[in-house]
Amino acid sequence: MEWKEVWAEAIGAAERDVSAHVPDAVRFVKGIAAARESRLLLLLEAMADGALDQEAIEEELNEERAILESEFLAVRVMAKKAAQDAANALIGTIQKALVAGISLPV
Amino acid sequence: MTRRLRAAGALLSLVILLQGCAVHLVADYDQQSEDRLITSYEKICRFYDDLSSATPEARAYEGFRERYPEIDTDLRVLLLRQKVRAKNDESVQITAKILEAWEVTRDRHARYSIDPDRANDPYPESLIRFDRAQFDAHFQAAVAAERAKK
Repeated sequence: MEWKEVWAEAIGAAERDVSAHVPDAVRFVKGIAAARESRLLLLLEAMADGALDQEAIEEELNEERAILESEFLAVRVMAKKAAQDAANALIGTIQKALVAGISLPV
Repeated sequence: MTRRLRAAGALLSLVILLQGCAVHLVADYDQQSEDRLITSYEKICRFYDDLSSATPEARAYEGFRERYPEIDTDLRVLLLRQKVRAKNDESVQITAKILEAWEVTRDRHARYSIDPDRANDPYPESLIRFDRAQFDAHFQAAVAAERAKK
């Protein structure tokens, strides 16, 4: 097997791994956006109801910030895992080809 | 010939190098962490179900005070579990935020229950719905982070 073919195959394996993770991440981000909109309406409802004093409003807004941070921490895990799987797929493909024997461009 | 030998040597070195070269950016998936997250979430759901089905005046902190430390302990144990796992910073932070949110909720429930203006309904239905939605979001992020490690 030629080195160029091995490299193309390794890149392809990495790309496939990244692509496999993308739909989950997109679904998650869409889901959190929709949930945030619903929560905003619930917050307005609770405020109109007099269910929150000034201190509680500040606490709830802080919590909304914390939720947003957590959601993007989860997205970061998804991105890291995609990068990890892609890198390992690339290394694994090259390693297999090296063991099987390839022609180097020398 | 020398060039071919060098190339073969380079190949061999590369094989050896790549063998110890697995990339590890996130902790491995942990089934127990996910199970504990689901268990804590169930307890919080049940807490809000019970609170919602109680009459407004029966929603005082006193009637629910025993439920708080139980869930608090579950979350602390989960946080410890997350902390001892390598490359698990994101899940540690997410769990710490859930614990903090639970403590803020407990303190506000206690504060509202001794407020004479709120004693007849210390945890209004609209607030139950909002707080429940916030915990849903917290746990969804935590479970998504754990499942992404699979």
